[in-house]
Amino acid sequence: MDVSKFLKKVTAEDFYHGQVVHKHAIPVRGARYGELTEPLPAELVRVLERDGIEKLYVHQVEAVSALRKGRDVVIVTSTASGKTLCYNIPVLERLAVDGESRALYLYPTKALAQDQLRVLKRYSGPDGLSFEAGTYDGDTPTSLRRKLRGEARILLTNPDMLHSGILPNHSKWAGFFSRLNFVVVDEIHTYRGIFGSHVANAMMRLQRICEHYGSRPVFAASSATIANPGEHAGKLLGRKMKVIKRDGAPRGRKQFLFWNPPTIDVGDMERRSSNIEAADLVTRLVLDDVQTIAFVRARVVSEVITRYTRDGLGERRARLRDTVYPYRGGYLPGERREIERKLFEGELKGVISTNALELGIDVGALQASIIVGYPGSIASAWQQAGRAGRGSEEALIIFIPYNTPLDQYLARNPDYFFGRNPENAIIDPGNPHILLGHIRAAAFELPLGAKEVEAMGEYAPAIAELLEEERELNYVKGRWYWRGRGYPSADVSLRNISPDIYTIIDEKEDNTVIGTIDGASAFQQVHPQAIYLHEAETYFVRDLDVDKKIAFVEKTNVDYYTQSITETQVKVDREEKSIDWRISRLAFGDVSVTDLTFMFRKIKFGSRDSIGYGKCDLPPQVLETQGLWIVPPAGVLALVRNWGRVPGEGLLGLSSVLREVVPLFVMCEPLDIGTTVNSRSTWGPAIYLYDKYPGGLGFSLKAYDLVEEIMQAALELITSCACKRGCPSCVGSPIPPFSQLDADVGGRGMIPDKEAALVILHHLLGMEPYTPLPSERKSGEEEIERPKGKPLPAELEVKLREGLRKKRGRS
Amino acid sequence: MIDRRRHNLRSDLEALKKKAEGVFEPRKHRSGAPPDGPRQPAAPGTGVGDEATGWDTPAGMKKPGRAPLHQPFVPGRRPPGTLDDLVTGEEVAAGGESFYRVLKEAELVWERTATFFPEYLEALSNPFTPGEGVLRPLRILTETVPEEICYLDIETTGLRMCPLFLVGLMYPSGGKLVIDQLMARDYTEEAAVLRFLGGVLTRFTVLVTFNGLTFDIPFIMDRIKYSGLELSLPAHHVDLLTVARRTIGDRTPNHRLQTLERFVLNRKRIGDVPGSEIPGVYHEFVRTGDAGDIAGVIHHNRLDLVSMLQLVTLFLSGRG
Repeated sequence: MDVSKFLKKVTAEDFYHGQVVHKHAIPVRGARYGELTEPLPAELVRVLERDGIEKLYVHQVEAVSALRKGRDVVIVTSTASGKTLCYNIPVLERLAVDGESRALYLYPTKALAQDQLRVLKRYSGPDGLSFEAGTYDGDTPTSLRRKLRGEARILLTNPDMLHSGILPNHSKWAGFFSRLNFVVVDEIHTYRGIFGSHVANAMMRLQRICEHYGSRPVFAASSATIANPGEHAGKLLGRKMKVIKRDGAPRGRKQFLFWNPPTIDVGDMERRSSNIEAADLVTRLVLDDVQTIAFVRARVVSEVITRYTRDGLGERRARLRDTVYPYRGGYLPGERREIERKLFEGELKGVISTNALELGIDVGALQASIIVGYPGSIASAWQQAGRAGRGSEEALIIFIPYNTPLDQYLARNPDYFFGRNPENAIIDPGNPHILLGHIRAAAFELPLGAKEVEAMGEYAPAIAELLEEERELNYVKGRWYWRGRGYPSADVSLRNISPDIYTIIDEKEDNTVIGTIDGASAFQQVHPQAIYLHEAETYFVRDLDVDKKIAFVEKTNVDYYTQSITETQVKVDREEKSIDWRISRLAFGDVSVTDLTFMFRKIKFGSRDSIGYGKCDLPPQVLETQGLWIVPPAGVLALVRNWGRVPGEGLLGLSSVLREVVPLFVMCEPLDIGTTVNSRSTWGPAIYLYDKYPGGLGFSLKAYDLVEEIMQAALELITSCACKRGCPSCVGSPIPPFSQLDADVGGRGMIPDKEAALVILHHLLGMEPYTPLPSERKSGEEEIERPKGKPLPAELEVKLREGLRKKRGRS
Repeated sequence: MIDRRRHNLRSDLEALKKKAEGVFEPRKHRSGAPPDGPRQPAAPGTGVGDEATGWDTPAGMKKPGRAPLHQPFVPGRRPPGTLDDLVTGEEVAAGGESFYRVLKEAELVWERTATFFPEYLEALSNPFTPGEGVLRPLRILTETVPEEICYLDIETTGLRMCPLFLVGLMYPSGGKLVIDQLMARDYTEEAAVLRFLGGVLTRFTVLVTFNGLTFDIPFIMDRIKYSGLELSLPAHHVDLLTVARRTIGDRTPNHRLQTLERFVLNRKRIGDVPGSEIPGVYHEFVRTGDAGDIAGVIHHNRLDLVSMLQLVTLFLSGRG
């Protein structure tokens, strides 16, 4: 697309009020091709040429050569750089020359596996290569399963199925495992935190089984940009990985804009709706025939923006109305496939998606990508940005911040965004709580040798002994044998999400299922009287059957949607232990984190006006877990107050910092833990830190033992942060709260008080009292700094003023 | 720190076990001696029932002077001893592998073999029903030399994907009915059992099982694959469960072997080790080496084999 032409046009329009606050150009890069030392088999060359591939990029050559030599690789080149070919080529080559070889492809979702199967199918067929390939997951019919076990040369599945369906039944797969040459693990950046630690253990189990059947497959992994791809892949797969990052794919110029919605009131506090800005931009891009994707944080927002966009298109060019679709989790698989196909084939001009399309589903490259609201991590933002750019064609990327403190911080500090490295992916396969389940599963699959157990982590031998004492393992001639009951892999779920899936049924349409929603979101989005949005249409939720897990809806034409309000409470169920940590009390024990959706607001489309409230009568959702809490002495709070600051804000700031710091000490992802400030179970406000996992995984327990180091690190983080009054890297939490909610209509909030947090930390750590900067805030308001720049030379200023007077005089 | 961890892991484990129990059958309450405690000598008149035959039948198979005791099986209550003391088999060693084999003439473990075995042979050579209709699957038995018919029943540590430890075979040999049991004394001996089994089975044309179609045969083949071995099965397989289902229909509450024993063969096992307890008994034997309870399992396996033979006799002589 012609970016400058588009911008020229848009900025000349009435609706333009200086929204572009920052421009960042990503320069052109030419294609770099390479040559394989040994040519590919003729039939493979033929199918590749048929697909339009005649030359390989340098990274593809590097990956293919390494994989041919049996080196394990992780590929981290940009989106749409042809990562898939890096492993498909050596796999297909092997299939062509070795009639028995097998390959296993693992994808984080079923949809991705199906998508990639379609890619592979392009290479097979009458005038292509001949091989069987298939997806093996929960949806695979039993009759097909047996066939796939025997015949599939390439099996595409997900780690969950591998863990619970394939590994425990490995003898049925003996033929497959004994001939396994390649294991492809795609999108490994998604295997992080608790989930990643589980997947790493499943991969360990996979390799034991391969060894048992006498194979040693080569691993090919791919990842979106993260800070530590080699280390992460190495830990995940238990192999030393060669990192391939020299990207040979061509890239057109990309223009990255920060587009801040204009202020609309005198106090400059209110801004025009970011959702409407997004819709306006998508509308204009689609009218210009620019295929566009907009990424949003919440499902409801994808629907709202689609609606606005369709309305906008309807007014100008009605036939384009239905070329814009929402895309999100909760749609039926068929519906999603259909949208992907239409997008790929160019039938759709615009798609408003949640991060569901962030993963590598092949919808072809788009020309423009709009990021509506900071997605919570730098890595994620870049991945969304990467969806724009067709080969060497110019592309447009626009970030539209919400009017929330965090997003506005980014709008004011683009250098923060462009200067920051993507996040590390952290896993800890040796976490004893996670390991326990996998040692049981591994012993069930094959007896565990002493050496193997040693390699599983420092606590693994102790855990094996514990299981022996508990009569789940027997130790015979140097190996542990499973003797427990049942199927231990069934006791472990790799993912930390509620397995409940609610079905959404349209009663007026013969009870057709129109979509699904996970248990955690159901209460917030399909409570009775909610307006559920589906393909930008409004559905009224008549009833939510919590037992049967069904939401009954009917299509109703209304001009509003609903946003529920959920309150989170933490309470202490049992205190297990406590100590005096310096002048504070530090305790650890069982806590319950209760989410209660108690009311909802009706929001008018467009104006965002609240047009009414309603009550929700839903049971609370409780996470029973373990946590620690720190109760600062009353004196600290008084100290903060004396400075004219709010102690609660300082504590909140400190709790946000802890969520950043603690993962480094306890080896988890920030999303694996929760922090909050609450005074329900303690005499004064306490900072809580809990494991976001039923029963706990030892994160907060470890943090309890390391409190001194953690608090010192928190202080270090805040003081070394260059920001003045708090930013997403310190006291402002980068994790967007309530991903179900539309930030456009939420409360504004503020970045918690950095200075107050420092006053508190200094006192808690027994340091010199901290003197905060004078409070610059008016009550309840956040001051926005004026942009800085060079002062005008005096003469120029005079000239400008004169010119201005003349202009005014004319009008 | 470590203790704390262990404590927490134990509670994790409890949670996992609870979860498992939700899915699978609940762990039965065990009232016996604690697993590590000193083994209680068997109290007189408790637990074991009639060890010699295991039947409580009108046929009067009990040893005189011992009252039938309808007490449930209690682990660890049987007189302790080694395998050699209690089941008197022998170690078979070949190629660096070994296992335990108990090969006995059936008469030694089942006195009424003297009556039933000739009846069985008679039924085979001169069947009352020619093996038509529902009995058609049995026809192959009447067309095969009795020496080439082998009964098979396995004991395992679970329902699937776990080791088996006992393969019970029964076949006529040298004019006598013999029971040939191949046992893995620990998990490492399973492969030797399977290898040996492969050799033994080559002698037979027909395999007779009870539910072997869905359980014993696939289980064995799974373990063969697991152990990287090969095994060719006899040409024919008769699964008595399918025959029983068709011939007996709803005349019995279900078609489990022990139900058929009770309602069709008119006898009841006493002091037998229930199937659900067998994996636990075996694992304890592996851990401690005390063969008290496993001897009961070996006997249980024999009873299964013997009942199968009797069912065939009944079916073929038209009394089933």
